[in-house]
Formats: sequence, structure tokens, C-alpha cells
Amino acid sequence: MARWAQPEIVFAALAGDEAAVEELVAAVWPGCFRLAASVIGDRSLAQDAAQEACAIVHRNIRSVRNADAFDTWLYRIVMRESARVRRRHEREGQATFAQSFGGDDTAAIDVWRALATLSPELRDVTVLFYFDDLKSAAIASILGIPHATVRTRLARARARLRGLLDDYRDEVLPTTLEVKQHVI
Amino acid sequence: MSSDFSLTGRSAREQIPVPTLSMDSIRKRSHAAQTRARLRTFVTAAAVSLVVVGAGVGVGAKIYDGVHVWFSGNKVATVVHSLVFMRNPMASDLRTAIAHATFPVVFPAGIPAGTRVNRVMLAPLDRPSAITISYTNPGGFNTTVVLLDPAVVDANAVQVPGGSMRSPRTFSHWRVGGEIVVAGGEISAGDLNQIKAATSVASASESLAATEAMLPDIIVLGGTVRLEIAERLRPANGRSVLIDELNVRSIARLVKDRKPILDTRFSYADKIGNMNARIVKAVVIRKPDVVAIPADGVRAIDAVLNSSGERASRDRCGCEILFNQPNPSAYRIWKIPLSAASTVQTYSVDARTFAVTASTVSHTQR
Repeated sequence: MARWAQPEIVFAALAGDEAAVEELVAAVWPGCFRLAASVIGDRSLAQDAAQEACAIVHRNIRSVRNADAFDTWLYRIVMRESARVRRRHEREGQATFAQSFGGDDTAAIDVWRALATLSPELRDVTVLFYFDDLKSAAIASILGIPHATVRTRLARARARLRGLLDDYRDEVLPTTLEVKQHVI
Repeated sequence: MSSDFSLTGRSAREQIPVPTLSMDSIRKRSHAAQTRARLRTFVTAAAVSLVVVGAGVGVGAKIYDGVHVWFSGNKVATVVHSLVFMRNPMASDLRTAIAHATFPVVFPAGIPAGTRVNRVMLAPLDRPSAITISYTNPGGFNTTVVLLDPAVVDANAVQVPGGSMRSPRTFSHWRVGGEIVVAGGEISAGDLNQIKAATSVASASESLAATEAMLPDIIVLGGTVRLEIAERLRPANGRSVLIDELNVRSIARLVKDRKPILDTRFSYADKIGNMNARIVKAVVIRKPDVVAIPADGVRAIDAVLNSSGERASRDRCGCEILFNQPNPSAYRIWKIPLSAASTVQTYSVDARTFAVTASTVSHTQR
């Protein structure tokens, strides 16, 4: 699992060091924003979600009893806030997933276009699985859904992505066997 | 896994430009989150006692002085417009709170031995016509009982308002003198019969005395787990305060900011709005402003935590702290370890120099 921040900063923040809390928030901010952007697909909404996530870190960091639990705790917060912002946006009928975040990297543009075709549920597990290299059990814990549901969604997402990314060779997307080996 | 798609995806994500972080914005949102957390406390408090009816379904129903309750069979619903939520109230708090009740309060009697009262909620704020008492007992008697002024109750409603309103639990309710008692369905039949019988013959003063015996006799802040030990240790003179581990972890920050520990036990909410059986908004009023431990007392605690000389010990003492100021020139502080195997350490701190003297007497936790 990815490390959001240096362990010593996390420890100091957990111990109630106010300066360390703000240092921690600053350290996790880029990761929070990019994760939110990856699953929401909108810079402005991602900024809203990431700011709210960081505010929760700022406010509730002392409630984390164990520094080892911090990474999962923060993943959960960012994903929850992203889902909340996304739902609100969908209710307003303005749900769109950007097909680019700027730049002219063709491969990157392909990735965002592909993700744009996935439903939010499939996109969440895809991002966490492929971009964050999380195990399916960890994803289940973060998203609060059954392990089997994660696996099903991963399989669906993969089927969808393979059909869309024709330009990619087989090894671009992992095979079903690879997915199974990874999620088990 | 390390597939091309993973690598490409990570690379694509790393290319997303990150906007500048505004720490001021984070601080403001953090403050707003704190307010929302308080509101959630009220929601929880209401949920454990009664089902809250949506404002929409209450249209046309008369609101009796800020509280209205409907019974229909074993279903119950209520509208509450304001409330005060008290965590770990002391006897004086309870007496003050019920002094203005709209009905003669008889507290439940016959409560199993060893039970403590850890929360009391009164509604509405100024003249309570609904009093919710939450009990906790290691033996399993963990329940909430509600006392109601009969004047705010529709006892024979054909249907609770809204039709779709449903309680997740069943309730028992009965009348005792000038009040209606509502008890959750989780109480065993034996306990319920005992409470009914004992309450029916108890006087108001007897039931109050019995309830006061279940209240802490020191100020308890946070989710402490060493209350009984602290109650045995507390001196007869001076005000004693017990703080939990989370509060202990905030000591260094408070000392740095020269701030006291505030008495956060009471929360007040007004203008509560309900929708779809949930409290959806409320105005939190009377933010905590009563000092539980003054800034110098906080400094004395910090001196004790520092006396071991290890930063780790100061930041994570794995303990709760009992604080007492017997006279203006000294503080007495007890470090009560969370581990039952450890011993309680007693300290005296000079109120002027903050010099720490470890007591020669220590207490085993029994």
C-alpha cells in the first residue's frame, strides 16, 4: 500500500503535535487531490473532495489510534468524500468525467478516456487496483463492500477496458489469470 | 501488480497538476466538520432514544412546547425542536436540569446493581418535557429509558405520523404518577418487570437519590475507562477532573497555546430540523466555555508527563489523568494506566514553580 506521508510525521501528528498535523496535511494533499481527480474526473470537484478529506485529517487525526492504520484511514476518507462530491454533482445533472487533465501525453489521454467509459463503481476499484496497487481485500475494506464484489467489478472493468483499448497489446491489460492471481 | 496499464495509469496520474493547498481553507473546513460532528452526536442521541419524525409528516400536528410524541402499539415517534445532551453528568447537573421539568420526575428504580448513568438528554432546552437516561453496565444492562410529560404524548395514535415511520426496535411504555416511562425492547422481561414494580412505589426523592448514586462524583471528560479507580482516589476536597487518553494527548498543544481544558460534557442544540426520520440540521448553541482544568493546571499535567524525560512517554502515556487542586499552592495528579497490570502513580506539583514530586505511595488497580 502506498505511503501517504513519512511515518515520523504521522507519528508526530497522532501525538497531537499541531505543527505536524499541518505538515501532514500538506504532505498528503497532492495524493489526495490526484486520487480524487482519478475517480471523479473533474479538477474542481476533486479539489473540493480533497480539501474536505484534508479537513477531516486536520480535525480527526487524533482519533487514529495506530499509525499503521493511517494509510487505510485516509484512503477511506478520500474515496468517501469523492463519492459524496460525485453524487452531489450527479444529482445536479452535471456529471462528466474529463477525458484529459491537460498535457499531450497520448498514453495518459488514453487512460483518462478509458476510465471515462466506466461507471463510478467500476472506476473506483480500477483506480485503486491498478494505480494504487492495492489488493482486492484492502479495496473492499476501503470501499466498505464485500470482497467478492470487488473481484466482480474488477473483472467487469477489465472486460470493458480491453474492448476500448484496442491499440494496446494483450500485455497492456493483465489477463484474467493475472487478475485472479492478484486478487486472491 | 506491475502491468503496462498500471504503469501508464500511475504515470498519467502523476501528470495531473496539483493546485496550491490553502491551509486556511482546510482550517475553516475542519472547524465546519467539528460542528457537523456535534450535530451527529445529537442524531445519535435521538436515535438511541426515540425515532424522530420528519418535519414534513409533522405538518398540522401541534407541537407541545418543543416536544411531541406519538405511540401506536409498540411503535413510537417524536419531534424534538431543541435539547441539551449531557455526557457523564454529576448529581448537581441533574438536579439543576430537572428543576424546571414540566412534570414531577420519578427516575426509574430497580435498576440492576453496578449500573452507571453515562448520558442524559433533556428536551426542550428550557423546560424539559422529555428526559432520556442512558445506562451502562458491564453485566449487559445497556439501555435507554425515556421519561415523558403525558401532556406531550398522543398515547393512542392510530398510526404514528407519516405512516412510513418505523422504529427499529419495539418499546414498552407505562404510566407512573405524572409521567410516562418508555423503555427499549432490549431490556429483558425480568429487568423490565423489576423496574416497573420498583418505579411504581418509589418516591421522586428516592428515585433521584438512587439515580445520583449511578452518576460520577468527579468531572469526567472523554471516553474514560478508569472512572471507578479515579473515584476511589479522588480527595475529598477540591474539584477533581478525570481526562481520557485522547485529552491527555492534547496536553502538549494546550500548553503551547496556554489554553485550559474546557468542560465539553454538555452540548446544546436548538432549531432542530427533521427530515426522513433524521435530524438534518440543528443550531449548536452555547459552545463550551466552562473551564474544567485551568491553563496552569494543564501545565502541571504536562510537567508530570515530562517528568519521565521521554517524549514517547509524554505523548503516549497510555494512561488517564486524574487532576485535583486541593489548595492554591499545589496540584495533585494521578497517572492511571490503561493497563490493569500497572500501578497508579501519584504526583504533587508546585503551583508556582511546577516542580514535580512523585509520591511515595502508589496504588494498585483493583
